Amino acid sequence: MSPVSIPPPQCLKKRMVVPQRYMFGPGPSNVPPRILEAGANPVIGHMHPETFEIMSQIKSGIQYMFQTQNRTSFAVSGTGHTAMECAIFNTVEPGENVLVGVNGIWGERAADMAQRIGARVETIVAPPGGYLTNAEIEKALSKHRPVLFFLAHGESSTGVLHPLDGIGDLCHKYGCLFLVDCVASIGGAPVYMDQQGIDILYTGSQKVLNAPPGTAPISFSERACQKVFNRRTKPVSFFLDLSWLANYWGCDDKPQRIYHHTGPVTAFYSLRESLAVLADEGLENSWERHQKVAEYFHTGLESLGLKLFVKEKRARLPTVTTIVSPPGYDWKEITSYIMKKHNLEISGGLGPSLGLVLRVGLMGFNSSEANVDMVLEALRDALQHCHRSKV
Amino acid sequence: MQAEWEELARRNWLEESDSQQKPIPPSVSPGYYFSTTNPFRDQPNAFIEGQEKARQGDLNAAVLLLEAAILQDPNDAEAWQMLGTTQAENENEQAAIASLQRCLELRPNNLQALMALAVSFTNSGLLREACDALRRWIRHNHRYRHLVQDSRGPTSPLQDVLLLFQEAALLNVDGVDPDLQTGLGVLYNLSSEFDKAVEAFSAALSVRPQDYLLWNRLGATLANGNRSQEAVEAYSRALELQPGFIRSRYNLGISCINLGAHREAVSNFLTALNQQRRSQSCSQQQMSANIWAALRIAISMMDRPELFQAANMGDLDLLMAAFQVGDL
Repeated sequence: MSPVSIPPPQCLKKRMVVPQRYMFGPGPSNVPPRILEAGANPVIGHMHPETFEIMSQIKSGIQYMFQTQNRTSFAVSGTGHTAMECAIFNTVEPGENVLVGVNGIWGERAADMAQRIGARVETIVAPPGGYLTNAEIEKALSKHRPVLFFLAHGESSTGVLHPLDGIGDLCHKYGCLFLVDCVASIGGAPVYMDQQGIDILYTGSQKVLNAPPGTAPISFSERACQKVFNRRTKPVSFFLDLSWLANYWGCDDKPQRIYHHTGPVTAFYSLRESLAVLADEGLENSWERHQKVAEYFHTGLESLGLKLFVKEKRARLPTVTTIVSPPGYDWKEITSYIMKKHNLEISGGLGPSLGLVLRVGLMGFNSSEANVDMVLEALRDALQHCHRSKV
Repeated sequence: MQAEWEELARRNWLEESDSQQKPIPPSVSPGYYFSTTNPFRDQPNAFIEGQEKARQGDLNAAVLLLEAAILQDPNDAEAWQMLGTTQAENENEQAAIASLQRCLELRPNNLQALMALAVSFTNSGLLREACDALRRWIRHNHRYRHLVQDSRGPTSPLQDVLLLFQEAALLNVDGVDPDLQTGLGVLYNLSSEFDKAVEAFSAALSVRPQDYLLWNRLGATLANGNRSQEAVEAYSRALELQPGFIRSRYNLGISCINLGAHREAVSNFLTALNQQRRSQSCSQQQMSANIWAALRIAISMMDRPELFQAANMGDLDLLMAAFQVGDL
């Protein structure tokens, strides 16, 4: 045996240090002690009965959170993007038409993913800060006859909450599945998966749920499952193959669960707890709290002379607020200053909103008036100290 | 629309990656980036012509001529100084800083360059560097150098220099030193004592009422102190004296936004961009990125999605037509 030529890294000899800070950007959000401690439980097998029991509880929690009775409800191992790919890769085959609603970065990414697996992608675009009307959607559905229509409910790059009513029906009228991304919105704004005719719905653990990033709740309607299980070709991804995932999570009728992949057990613990916390508070209470806090925040922002990016009140995402970047300021200076001085994270824009906005996320247990006051104080301070007009 | 969206996104992603490469702190900047194509490269009397163009308010042409002068003689400290101040007027702070630093390498006691550098550092939020430049200004100024002592006890660099300048001002019993007052004005901007800064610049203006740079400094100070209406008046004076003063027009646009006058803001930004573009057949890079950014923000507040798209695409002609901005 020859000696190793690469020495052990010096950096690993040092103790790992992670700072405490306020996570008021678009995610991940702060993880409260109860959920953090859940993650410290001993690691057991990803297919032990106790783990299956926890997974079963997670499924129930997801059905509650999504307001669905879909049996094919589980958590993808990964983050929001993993769920996005899981949804698209399973429901779409090469050569099929896909329609993507684009009013921010998430639509753009969904279109990218669909293109990668050989779908014929058409987009309908709304400008940043805006959303698509049902009329526009119907026109595009009729024209392109897609098998899948994607929409971001919580478009966190622009701060828009997309109206959902009636769209599911439109999709079904044209024989199309309705895919909705609620990563930034679920728990903070109302979503009724079954009632709104949503066929595939997914979110991430690290936003309103306040769990560490690592799992992504997802649910497929019967209609969606029909399409998936009658594919002519196998899904391109083994890891995200729905038949395997559904089996691992006990969503199918098979008597045995077969080893597919190693589920992130620790992440399951924290996800389970975060769903328990949500169930404790209750969906309607959570929605109402986020709405109230957002309105309190918006009033405060306007009193600082700042302007909200989304003009229409009802289109404002209560979990992530977009503020017009104050003219003459370097937004990077503002966010760095606030991080350095107040130990608080807020973001600039993303994708189409880059350079235009500041983004503040108050999600789950971070959504409180006390935190709003903290953010407003930090902003007031930054506006004073960061530069504006050129002397 | 899809193609536009993709282009939009690509541009934004480009901007993002660009900005990740750009922020080298000015004090360790690798140097000045010369224009790649310069029609005046071999022009004789480039410096004199550059000076003249600057006087006329054609700042882009002035920059190119001064760059040419420097390429012909890289040790021309005066040309570096003029290039620095012209770039600042042209709303190009990084270039201004690089030029002024180069000038000071050649002539460490150049007072105008030191003051201009302090201003540029102030605008860039580099407090320590700005104070350092102003300290050097006093140290090299024959009138006041005797006031400089090495250690003044446990105060901040800002307070230190401020004290120096205040003491210096007291020496001028029977008159105002407008340059000293400018330094004071800059320091009060740094300490956020805007009312005192206004007094300082006003004092300087009493001696030099035709100094458009001072009018802009006054305006910016008023704006930073939330006195936007008065700022507008000061900028207007600056622009009367020098219609090609890009920085001041940019500042004016900012104050218009803060006053809710979006149309006027856009108009001003477009005028500035057009002046820059018109000066020389140049590409997008020759126009100030700051101004484009502010323009986008102003238009985003006007609920005109098609114009917003145009702003993102950099379609200056369309925007000028839409806002009826002609040639000055």
